[in-house]
Amino acid sequence: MSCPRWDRLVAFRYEGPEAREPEGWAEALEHLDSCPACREEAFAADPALLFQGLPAEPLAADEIRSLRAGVDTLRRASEIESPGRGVPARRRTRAGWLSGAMRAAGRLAAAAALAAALLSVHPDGVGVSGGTFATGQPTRQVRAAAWSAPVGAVLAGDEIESPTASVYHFDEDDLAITMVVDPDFDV
Amino acid sequence: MPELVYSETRHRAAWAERTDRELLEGIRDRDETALDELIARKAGPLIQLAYRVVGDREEARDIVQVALFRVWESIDRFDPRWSPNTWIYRIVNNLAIDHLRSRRSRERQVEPVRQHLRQVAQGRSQNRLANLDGTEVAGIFRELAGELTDKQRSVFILRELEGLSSREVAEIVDCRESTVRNHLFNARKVLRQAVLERYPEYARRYADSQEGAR
Repeated sequence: MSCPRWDRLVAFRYEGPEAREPEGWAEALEHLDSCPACREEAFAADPALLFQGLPAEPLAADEIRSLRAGVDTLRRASEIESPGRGVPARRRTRAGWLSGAMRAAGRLAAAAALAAALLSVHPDGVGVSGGTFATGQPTRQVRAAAWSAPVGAVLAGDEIESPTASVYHFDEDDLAITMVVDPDFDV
Repeated sequence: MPELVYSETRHRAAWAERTDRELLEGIRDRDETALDELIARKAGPLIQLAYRVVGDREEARDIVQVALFRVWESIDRFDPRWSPNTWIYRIVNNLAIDHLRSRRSRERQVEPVRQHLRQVAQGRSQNRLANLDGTEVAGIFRELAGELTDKQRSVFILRELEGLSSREVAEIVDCRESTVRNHLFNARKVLRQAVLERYPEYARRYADSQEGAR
């Protein structure tokens, strides 16, 4: 657009509270951002226009993270002060994630031991040797079964708070294993 | 092969696709990932709003932190007929104004801004508003906004700086649209006068034109 007459354009701003924006006002403001000559004229016509569309200061990289941590702290403090109030159905606190992962790891180890015991006597011929699986003929095919229970039912017991966590599950007639996998998790 | 039944990454990605209203519904269901997504989405504009009201970045962040906690705690008070943005902005604006009332520190902000601009002006051939950069303008605004009443300040920031409609501003500051227009009108006049009085070197052309008109 061509440069408008700012002295006429800004007049409405001081005519009274009910004065309407003139036609082309929004376009003129857009134009103002990119036209140094117009900035000069516009601010000379109305110094208060200086503040219109003041640019935002960019968010620092760690601001969102610290904000999240701050909100989390307030929530926890509130839960301690008023137990039961505002407690989510699925609590996924960091401490909970650790204990949940430890429980899951314990269950996984127990399930592996159980599987080893079952497989060592399995008619398919899979045996256990020296603490490691020794596959005979034919290799037992472990199939992933369709997920039958709501995910939430599992997660209600295993509290997770990790953006990289994944939950895997396989289910056989005699064996069901749930695995919580997180590359960031360090036991 | 084990079947992937739950992935936190996917869960978060799914929330990122949702609307603000759906995020609030998720928060009502106590889904913390929904709250995380709301924080990621709104932190920038909310800190900006609070910062413009109180004039201090650290304090603005604290205010937004408390506001987002209130969103979590008071989600049952959210009326689905309201705009989510309006509700959240209202919480932040109210907290910021309350904070401002308890900490009137505009006096200590005045001198640094003036000193800075005097130093800057010495290195420039002409004092012109158009030559000021965003940080300098923000500094001037923080100082001059101290001349406004709390309502005028909120209305001016929301309407002219944030670009919200009169209707949205009316809902946020809890008044009628006609009152918003009144506050805005008066705020402009106060700010224009404040620029003339405190930064006459930057408003010479305006002052000259007014003189000529008489």
